Amino acid sequence: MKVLMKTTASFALILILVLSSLAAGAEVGVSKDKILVGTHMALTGPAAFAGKGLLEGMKVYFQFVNEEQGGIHGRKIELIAEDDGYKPTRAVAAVKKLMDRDEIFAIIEALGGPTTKVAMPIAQKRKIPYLWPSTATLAIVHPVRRYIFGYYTQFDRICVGLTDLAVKKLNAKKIAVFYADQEAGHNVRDAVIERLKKYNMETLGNVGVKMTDVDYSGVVAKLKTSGVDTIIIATHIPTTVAFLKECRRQNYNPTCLQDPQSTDPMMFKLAKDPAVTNGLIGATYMLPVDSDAEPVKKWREHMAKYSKMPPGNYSLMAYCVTEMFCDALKQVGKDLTREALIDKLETWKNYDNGLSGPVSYGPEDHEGSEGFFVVKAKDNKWELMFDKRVNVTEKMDRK
Amino acid sequence: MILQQVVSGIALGSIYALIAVGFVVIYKATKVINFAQGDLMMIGAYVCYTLITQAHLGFFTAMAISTIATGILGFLLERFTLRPLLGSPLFTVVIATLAISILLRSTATMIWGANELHFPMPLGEQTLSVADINFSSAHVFITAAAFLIVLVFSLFFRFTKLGTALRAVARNQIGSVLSGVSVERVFSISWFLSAGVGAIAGMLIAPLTFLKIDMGNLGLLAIPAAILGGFESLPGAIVGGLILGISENLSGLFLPLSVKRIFPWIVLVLVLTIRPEGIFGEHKKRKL
Repeated sequence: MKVLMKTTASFALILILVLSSLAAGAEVGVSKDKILVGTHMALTGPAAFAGKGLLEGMKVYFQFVNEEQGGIHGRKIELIAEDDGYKPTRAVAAVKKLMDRDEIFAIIEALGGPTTKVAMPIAQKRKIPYLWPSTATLAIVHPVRRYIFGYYTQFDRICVGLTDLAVKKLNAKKIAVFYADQEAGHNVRDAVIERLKKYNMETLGNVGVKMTDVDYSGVVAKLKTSGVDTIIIATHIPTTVAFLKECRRQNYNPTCLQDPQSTDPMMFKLAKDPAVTNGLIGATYMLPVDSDAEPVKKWREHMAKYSKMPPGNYSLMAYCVTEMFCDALKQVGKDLTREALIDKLETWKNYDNGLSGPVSYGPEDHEGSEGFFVVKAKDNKWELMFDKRVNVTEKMDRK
Repeated sequence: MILQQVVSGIALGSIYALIAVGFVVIYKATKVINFAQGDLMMIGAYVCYTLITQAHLGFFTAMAISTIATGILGFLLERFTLRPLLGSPLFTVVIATLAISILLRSTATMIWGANELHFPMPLGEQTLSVADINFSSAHVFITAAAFLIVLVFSLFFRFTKLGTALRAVARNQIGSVLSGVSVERVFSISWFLSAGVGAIAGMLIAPLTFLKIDMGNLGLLAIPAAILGGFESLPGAIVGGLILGISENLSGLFLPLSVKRIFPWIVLVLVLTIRPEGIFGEHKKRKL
């Protein structure tokens, strides 16, 4: 009799627990009044300037949604951020912690190619949405994985656009690539080389640099004597600024175009003297931070209201992506599940929140954005060079 | 073109030399290669930056205060982390300097954050041009400072009582103690001097590399300069630095960048094959 009573009591307890969890919410990370969202990025180390900007942009938008809209369908959003120091090993530990201990619903806007490349397969295996990491690493979107979505325009598309711009509109004759000697930089170099074949042109004297390099005098002297008139730059901000300063010192004035990683107002803070950066052309995922467009104005207002950080490109990028995430959650409705979120995203056609450009997805297409804005540095400001976004919609040759 | 590269090489070599002097000062007295030297350099630069931007001091006042403050930090680090290791195997002490390096970097990140910062040039940022050769005012300042510091330290080691004591301790600790020299005091002073000269190097280099937490990595690039010069010789640090700077820049002109990066090490191996004690090193013979 005693055994029967104990067994009945145990079953009843389990039933109560199961039912109460069902009542609270059917999905991991989603409760009656809260949605737990995770992210991982470098908050310390050399890439921390990017990570901190991204985190601030996310925090600001979530705070706006929580305080001014009462959350999403009555649920407040709580963000848990892990510092991975831009190191793959720490990124693996970070996503496992987010998934196992914190039990988040989804991971959004993680930072970095090397880190997201190792974190992404874990999310895919556990069927946890891993959305819009801040990297243009091809592995994120190619091949397509159900739980992984890219947003930022892939480097090969940007390079196609920049190379076309250099050759067709800027009349470039001799082009060289100045790139960071790592995967992202190699991708840029290779994409430019590939695109130039279309014009029967070749790059000349490409230069791969390490972050520890301090002197570019030899590099600049070589480019100058080679007669290179156009340089496509794919390096971090300090390297780009040091390179531009050296060009100026040697009275060498090539046309310089750069990929989005350095196209940030922080560049002007480091360069100080506008003469160093004036004329530099940059690709950027977002509208300039001081644009008069209404969505950008709204972002600046929110940054002023909820953050002490000065507005920058990274916070704008994260703000944009966080708004996308919240819009997707709204569209899914009250019965929020991971599967429903993915299904909803795969139906998006030309979603546009006005900060970047239109984005579409499908079951066989998780790439995201296919364009970029072209800006030009003038007196320590990025100004739009063309009003319209450059879109590179052609099918890319990706093996 | 080649002359331009030689001039740029002298500037780069002076940077190496300036950092190498810090390594040499501490090695001369303690026989320890201080892997935290680059990080003391970084701390000095950050302290100077804070004094300029927060306390609104002039560059040279901030530089003087920062040099002394970093020197005191070096003194304290020796007193509380390395002094207890006195008599331990050299390997243990070297590993302790690595630990100090990590500690300094982490603390600096907590205080100043990880963003790169613009560091003002002491004499403004100007490009000078002589006979079609361009160089920046910062390079002139660094080269002059490197030579001046080496001169001052060479005189100090040769003609002062304290300098003689530092050399004596490096040569024979037991003999120095028997002669009345306080080894502990000598170690503390060498750390004070080395940290101070590191701070000066950091403040002069930061305008070129920007102020950043990992600027201490430059210290590793200066080690070949110190070894090349003989590691105990101050003029050797200058000569080693200049040889590396010039050869690295000239190699960059004729060889791929990847070769340029390893060129200092190739030069180092070549020189040490011919002169294992370095250019200015003392050749020691031992009877077996």
